[in-house]
Amino acid sequence: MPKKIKMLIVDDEIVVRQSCIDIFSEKSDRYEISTVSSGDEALRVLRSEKYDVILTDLKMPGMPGLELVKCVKKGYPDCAVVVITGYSTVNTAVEAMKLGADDFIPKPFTPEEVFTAVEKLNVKNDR
Amino acid sequence: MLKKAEKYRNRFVALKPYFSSFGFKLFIFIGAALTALIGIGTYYNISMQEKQLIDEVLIGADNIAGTVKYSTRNYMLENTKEKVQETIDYIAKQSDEIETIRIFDKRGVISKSTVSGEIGDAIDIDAEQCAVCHAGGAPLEDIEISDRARISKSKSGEGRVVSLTQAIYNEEGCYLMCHDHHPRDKKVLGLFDITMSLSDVDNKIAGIKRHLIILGVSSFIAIMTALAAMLYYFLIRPMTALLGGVRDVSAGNYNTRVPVYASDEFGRLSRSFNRMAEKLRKESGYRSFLTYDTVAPEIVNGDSISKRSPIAPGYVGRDPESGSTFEDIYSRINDETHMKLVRSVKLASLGQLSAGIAHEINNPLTAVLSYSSLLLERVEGEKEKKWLSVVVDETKRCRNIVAGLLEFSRQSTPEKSQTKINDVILRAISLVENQESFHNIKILKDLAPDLPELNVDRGQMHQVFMNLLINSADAMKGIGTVSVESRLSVVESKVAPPRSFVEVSLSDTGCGVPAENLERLFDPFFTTKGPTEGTGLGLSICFGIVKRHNGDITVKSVVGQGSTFCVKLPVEGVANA
Repeated sequence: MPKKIKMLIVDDEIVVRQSCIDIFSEKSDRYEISTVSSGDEALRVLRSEKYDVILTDLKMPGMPGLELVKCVKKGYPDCAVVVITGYSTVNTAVEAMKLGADDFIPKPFTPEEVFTAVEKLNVKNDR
Repeated sequence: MLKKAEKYRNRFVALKPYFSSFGFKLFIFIGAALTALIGIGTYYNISMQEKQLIDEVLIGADNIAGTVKYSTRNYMLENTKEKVQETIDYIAKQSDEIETIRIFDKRGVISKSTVSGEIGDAIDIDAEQCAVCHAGGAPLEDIEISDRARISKSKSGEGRVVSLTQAIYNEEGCYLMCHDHHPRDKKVLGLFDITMSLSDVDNKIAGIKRHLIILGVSSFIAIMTALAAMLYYFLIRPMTALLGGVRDVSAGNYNTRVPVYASDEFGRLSRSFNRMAEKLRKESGYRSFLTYDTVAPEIVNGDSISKRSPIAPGYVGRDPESGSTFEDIYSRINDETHMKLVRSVKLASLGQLSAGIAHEINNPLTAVLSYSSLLLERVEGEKEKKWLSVVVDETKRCRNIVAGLLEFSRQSTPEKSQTKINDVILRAISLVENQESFHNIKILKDLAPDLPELNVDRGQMHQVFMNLLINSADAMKGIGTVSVESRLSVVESKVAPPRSFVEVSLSDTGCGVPAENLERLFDPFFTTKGPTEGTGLGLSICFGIVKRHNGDITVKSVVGQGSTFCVKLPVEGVANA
């Protein structure tokens, strides 16, 4: 049985977290999904468990998403990071990419958009 | 009592500005100096006059003493005492000024006097008459008149008197005729004491005093009156006018002018002030003309108007340059300017609102779009599929609207750099002409070469031309011609240096816009396209970008013939040189 892809969803909105769980569960059974509601919580979880992909919002209470991207890329360089945000600008996308984010998806997204983005990453990672 | 005190206090408070004014202080200072000068001068003059008059009396008294001495000399040698008495009585009667004539012997006894009652009275050596010579040690000889004189009150108590003594020296005849009484070694045998009234002198001095005081006071009044008039005409009047003018200008009344009273420093200052006010008036007028200054609105006859704007309705006056009344100018530009103002305010408010809510809307939209899309993949029935497709499509439409709102809300400051505007236009054209909607559209380019570089945000200007080009294609329903022109224009002004602009116009051969819709064309969410074709934010975004570049965007349109959008951008900085 192939190893499951471990994914962490970081978003303060429960509907977004649940949507992501349902999208990936519906599309594939290769994903093992956990969710947290803040950047600080994400870093705490990352210390005890290894994840392959992180989907993170940018605007959250506490640690900002960009800061999380920076910390993850510094501490866990093998972990892919996809930024999902409801306040997307070219500047924030460029900044996220500069900090090491692997992709940038503006909200609201279709299941296809987010699934394809993550799938593309795994193809890359598998290589 | 309290009321009275309050009344005086109020009166003082009301007059305080006058007391603290420079003119009043100068007046008081000069007045005090003048009073001291006139007072000292008058006192010195009176003292000198008095001394001179008394000296004249003393000389007269000394002459009389000499006359008595020579008149009585023979009688004294003959020792005919009666004759001596008759002589001094006779002399005393010759002048009203002579009060008494006395002859003292060497023992200080009055041997002869015009006052019979005092003959035989003796005086001490310390008495005034003797003290002149016997004040210290050996008796003095040849004493000055002033030292031999003494002024005292008259015995009658009316006025002053001056007394003068003159010694009777021992002569050869004296000690030869009467050696027993006048030994040879005696130098002084007695003295004459003449007392003269000073009432005449005092009267004269009182008269002089009166005249000098009247002269001093009248001089003081005349000088102070002249000074007050001079201060008023040359200092207070122009200063008050200037202060009033400054107060008016600081309150925003640039029509105020101060009178020029003279060609002195104040005159020059007044002229400079008037020139400054005139410049301010013109600049303020044209600034209001351009920006529709609505600061501090004032309600006149129920209408809210700009208090500071000289082009406000009801303002009486003419534009000095064009000769048009401000009422005319106001009417002419009111609609256009007002619409621009309202549009700018709307855009700013909407931008702030959009930024606040767009982020919050995107999260629930994510859930709606996700689940409706997932459901669409699962459902079997055609009707359910159709209905869910509507949900997915409309949610995507919402996504586009929110994306447009977010783009619109980002009132970011342009990151300007020197840019060749023709390059930006050509890049936008190259991007759109490959799109399907432009396949049947001919794009004509007439771009002026050698345009000055503009200080603009390249990305934002690219967005403007892209929006305008896509807008043209939509208006032409995919078939027609778009003419893109760029040119340099210079706007001359009588009140400001000429300004250069680059004008970029895009003309299409589309359906055109009805006149009633032209004014609303740049309003957010206003669109003539179908509900699924546009959000109505494209032209609003263009408007915002051009305004942030201090430019202007206008539109002319004829229904059935097409529309022309004109973007006007200022040439500034290095490029303007």
